[in-house]
Amino acid sequence: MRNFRDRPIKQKLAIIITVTTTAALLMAGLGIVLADSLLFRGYLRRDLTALARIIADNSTAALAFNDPKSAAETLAALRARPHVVGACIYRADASILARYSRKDSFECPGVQEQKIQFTRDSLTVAQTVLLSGRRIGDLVLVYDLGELYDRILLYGSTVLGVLLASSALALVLSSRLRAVIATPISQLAQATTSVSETGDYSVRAERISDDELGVLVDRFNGMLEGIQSRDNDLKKALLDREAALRDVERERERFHFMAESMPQKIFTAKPNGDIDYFNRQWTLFTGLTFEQIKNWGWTQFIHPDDLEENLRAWRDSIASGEPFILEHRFRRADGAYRWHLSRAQAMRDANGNISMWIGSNTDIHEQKEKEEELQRANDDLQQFAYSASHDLQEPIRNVAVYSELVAKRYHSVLDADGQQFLGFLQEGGRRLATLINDLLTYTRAGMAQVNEAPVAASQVLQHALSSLAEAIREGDARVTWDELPEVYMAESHLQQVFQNLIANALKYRSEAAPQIHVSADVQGTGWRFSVRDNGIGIDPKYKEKIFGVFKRLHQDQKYTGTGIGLAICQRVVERYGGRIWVESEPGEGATFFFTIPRHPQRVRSRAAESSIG
Amino acid sequence: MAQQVVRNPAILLALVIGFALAAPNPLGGADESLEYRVKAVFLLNFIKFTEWPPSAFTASDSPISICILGADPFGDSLDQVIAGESVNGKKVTAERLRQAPSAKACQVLFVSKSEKNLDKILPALGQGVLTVGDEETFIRAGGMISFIIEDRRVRFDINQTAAQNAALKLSSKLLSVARSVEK
Amino acid sequence: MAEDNLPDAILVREAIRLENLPLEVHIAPDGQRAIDFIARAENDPDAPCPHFLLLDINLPKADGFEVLRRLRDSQRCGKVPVLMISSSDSPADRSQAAQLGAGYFRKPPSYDEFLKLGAVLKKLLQDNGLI
Repeated sequence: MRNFRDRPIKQKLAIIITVTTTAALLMAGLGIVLADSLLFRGYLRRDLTALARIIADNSTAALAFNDPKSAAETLAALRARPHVVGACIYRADASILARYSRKDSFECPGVQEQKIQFTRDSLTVAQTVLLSGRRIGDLVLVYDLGELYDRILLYGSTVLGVLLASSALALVLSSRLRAVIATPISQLAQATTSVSETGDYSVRAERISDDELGVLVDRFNGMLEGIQSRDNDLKKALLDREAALRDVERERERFHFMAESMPQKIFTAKPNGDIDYFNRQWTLFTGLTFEQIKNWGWTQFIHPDDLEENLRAWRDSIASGEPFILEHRFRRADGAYRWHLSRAQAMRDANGNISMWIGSNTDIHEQKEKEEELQRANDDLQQFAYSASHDLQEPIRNVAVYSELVAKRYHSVLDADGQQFLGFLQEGGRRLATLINDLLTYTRAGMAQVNEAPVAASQVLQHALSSLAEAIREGDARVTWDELPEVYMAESHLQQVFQNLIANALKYRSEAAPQIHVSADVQGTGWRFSVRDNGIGIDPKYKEKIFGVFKRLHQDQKYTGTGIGLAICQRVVERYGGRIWVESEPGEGATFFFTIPRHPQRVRSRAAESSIG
Repeated sequence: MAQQVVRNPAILLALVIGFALAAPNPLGGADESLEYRVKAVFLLNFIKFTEWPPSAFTASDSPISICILGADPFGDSLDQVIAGESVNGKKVTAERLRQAPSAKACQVLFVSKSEKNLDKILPALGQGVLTVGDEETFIRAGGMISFIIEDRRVRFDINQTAAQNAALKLSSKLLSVARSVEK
Repeated sequence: MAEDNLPDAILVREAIRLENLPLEVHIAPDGQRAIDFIARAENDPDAPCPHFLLLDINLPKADGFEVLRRLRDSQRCGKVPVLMISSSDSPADRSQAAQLGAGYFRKPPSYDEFLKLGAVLKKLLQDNGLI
């Protein structure tokens, strides 16, 4: 069966057709032959029975009158039937009355019990001879079945002949028709072989018929088209990829070259914080190899005091993706620690995920030292200024007050000049006192430490307003405010700022009753406060100058004050890492803005501040 | 089969006859009874091969009567042979007559040798009577069947014309076993 | 009064006189003296507590707040009304004064303004039922 299964379709078809037609014909033929022989037997039986009856009937007289001659004559009629081998008429006593035989070898079989008896070679028919219902004798006919066999043979050979002829015809016919099926199939098979051997997807099978094979061919072709186009896409994609990879390689080389040739220390890190690249400067500086530094090995040359914050800041950046900025100390190969400013930015891919960190570390040691020196000098100066102004306060005040007292009490004693001179003294004294007071406030503004606890700005505003309560009342001013946030500032500092700004607004008022409005909104990482007034306004070209120490725009007696108020504000605000500025036009009032960062700031050095920009 | 044999003395007779025939001298002195036995059987058989018109009977259930005119040569044989026999549903009876029968009285008339004036007897019979004679000349005289003995065997000649004239139909089978048939 | 600056002390006197306040003024020139005074008042039942205390902040030896604290700790003199007077206008000083239950008067650089101290004192004394 397996053998059959593997034969080519054409052969299979041929075999199938041949086998089925042959089988069918064989069955038919056998059926016919069988049916015929059966029918013939039946026919024979009937025929011979009838014959026997006729003969029997004809021989009644012979039997009745015991006339063997007549009986023999009757039997002789059987000669007409070539297949009757012999016949015998028996008297009632089973003796033979007459006998007929074709062959001499025939012997009367004797009275038969059965009417019909088929043996292999012959058919024996027995018939009782009746006369008026009385049995007067028996007739026995023996028929040669050769006729039957001859007939079967005839039929059989005919059938066989027909069979062969039909089979041959069927084969011939089918061979033409086979092609209709086998050819497209073999073509398709060829096409598939061709495709699989050559790998050429442009091969197509020819559609010959419109049946299932035609559909198969179409689908096959369609599939090949699909494969072909995908193949092309793949090839193209591969090429693109190779090109892209080459580009990437090139870029990497450029980067490397750049990184290595820079005097800065450059590093890159994986998104999880492992440092995976250091440039040459690193190894030169630390005297360590890349193997020693990589991943988290850099911790070994960080100054122990800076290490904790370093780790925290680095981890925070990795987690949040925010830029990393830090000043810290690295240990050089010779053991000395140098201040560095480290910065790193996250590089993101198309999906916005961090693909790597790129950073640099700049040696700011000299700068830092200078800064620290500067700071120290500054602090000293500050300290000096504070204590000086503090100590100066009292004697200067005494001068002021007493010159006033003298002027009042000994006014009459003095001549005109004296009075004038005394007046100058008074004036000078007063001014000195105010100056010193402002100076003291100014220096104090630079001294206090940054607060870690938040203060409610609205509350602080209230304190400021209560201090200015009298001035507000006298000026018939109205102060309004929006909801103000909490800020990380010393209460006194914020109050100072509010006080100064509002005092200025009251001072530099217009004819109308002063309307002052305080509000705050979020701006980037900080709060932006605004103090708006409807006063005389400020010429834009003096926008910067007014914040200078002791700078005043108006020398009028109308506006008292040393002009240090805004300078104090600026100092305070900048101390907190904010900014202060004004927007104004002459005659249209002024709005002062100042920003305070939302979160407590660590004091930064000048270098860091400038690099943040 | 056995019953049939018992019931039909004819078979017995046939058997006897068969043996008798096989014997070198079938007909001897004592054979006379045998002869008439055979003839009796033949008579009965004649009936079986003859067709009478319905007018030959007085009634539909009338029997077929065999009449012996003249000396009765059969003795008991005829009676034994026809005992219980019926042909086509009609009983067979036997009569002995001294003179010619009346119409429809006999269907078969056996004219004994003793009767000589056949030319008077035969024409006087009506239709439907099968005349059987015991001499060869019987049919020449107008009889229908004549018994003869040939080669020690009982045979008969038939005068078909006479039978036809009497509105009797004799089966061709009967005719075929007759020694001769006169048409 | 605890005050180390003589000119200022004279001015205070002047202010009191102008308001005709019936005050006897004792001056302690430094913080320590003031503390001693308080201590004496504590220990000696005959030594009096001041009815009222004017307290400069910038005192030698012990500053005004120290004195004030000492005063407040005192059993006998703890409840004595106190007015801090100072050239300083610092909010820190003001709040600290308030915390220790003392009033605050800033010494102004003007004579006329200084004399207002008198009215302030008068009011304070009235408020405390001393006059």
